[in-house]
Amino acid sequence: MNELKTELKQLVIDALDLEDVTVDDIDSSEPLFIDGLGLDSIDALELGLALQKCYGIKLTADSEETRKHFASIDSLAELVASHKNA
Amino acid sequence: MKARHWSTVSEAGAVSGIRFMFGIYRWFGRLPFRICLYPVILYYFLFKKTARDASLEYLRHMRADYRLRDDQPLLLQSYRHFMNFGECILDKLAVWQGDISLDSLAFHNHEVFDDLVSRGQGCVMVGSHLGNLEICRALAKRNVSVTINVLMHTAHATRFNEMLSRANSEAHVNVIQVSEISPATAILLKQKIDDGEFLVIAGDRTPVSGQGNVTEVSFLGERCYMPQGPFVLASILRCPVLSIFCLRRERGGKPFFDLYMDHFADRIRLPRRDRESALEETVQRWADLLAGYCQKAPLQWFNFYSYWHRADADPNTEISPD
Repeated sequence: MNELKTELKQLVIDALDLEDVTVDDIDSSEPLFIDGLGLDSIDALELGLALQKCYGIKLTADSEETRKHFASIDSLAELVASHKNA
Repeated sequence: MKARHWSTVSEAGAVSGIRFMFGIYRWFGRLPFRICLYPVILYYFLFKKTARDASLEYLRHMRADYRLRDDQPLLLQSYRHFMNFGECILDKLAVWQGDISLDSLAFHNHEVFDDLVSRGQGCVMVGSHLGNLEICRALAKRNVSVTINVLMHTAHATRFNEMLSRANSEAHVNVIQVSEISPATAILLKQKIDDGEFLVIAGDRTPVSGQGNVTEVSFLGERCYMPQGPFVLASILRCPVLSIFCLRRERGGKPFFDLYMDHFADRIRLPRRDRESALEETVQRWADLLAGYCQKAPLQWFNFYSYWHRADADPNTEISPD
């Protein structure tokens, strides 16, 4: 799981072109959007596309659900793990 | 009085009236249709104050920006503006019925479009409610091998679309209803771009959800909000952007359409560091292009709601439905 989290941090950094941010700077439990890492709605779209490309995850149209999945690296890891097991 | 967001104003021609009018067109032709259209449009002109005020506001802006002749009474121009809207609705129905063919369309500078099609490169086409894009959708359906998807803001136009689909069962195909661009929609649309499909999206109406996503620009001499959506979408889809306009004129007593597609950008880049300024620059460039086309067909501006009212207000507070 920790490996996956590191992988996801790198994915976030690459997909969103986060300059000056390293894997070590991101706390798995901190919010990705607004506070914490400070991502915005355009980043959310990029992140969705990156998840689809790397893991084949198709998000549902339910925005509330997406918001939960995108809350932190921890919740993203859960999403990816459950998708892999499915 | 609080100005209303466009999505809360029902389309100026009520559907029942249009259905009757369409019957006249179908049974008797365009001339009797027109004879009936005059009083109907006069009715809307006289009693739909919101739409009339919006029309006058737009025409005043056009005049102040030297894009419209001012040697005619403003009210007369406004009435003709309404008449154009009536004709536009008929054209939409007529084209799906097969009464308007490719012979009635001139495709200007189509090289950009042809090049994309031959390379199998999907793209975003930014359109507007200036002119009549329905003509292109209908003709493309029959004559072009590329798949064209139209992104529409939610249920507002649904009743009209129901009528269209009654006129032609294919009319509903490839209309994607989106109220906001979510990550899920982005994935769906990315797939379409990857398959070489085209996405048409209106660049002149602000989002229904009202979650911001608008940029303040100068349009016809005054500040107003325009949507960021088409350009944000193009940036994440990493695809070229074209503008598309389909303007009407009369030729030999029949409607004739000029289709213009301009190259807008190979790719829209919204770098994180100056995203806001990149968006501003892009949306302003679009607003300028739109103003230029307004000058070509001043009375074919089919946004009958107050367009500039939110210039000094917070976009989030004004958009809530009445």
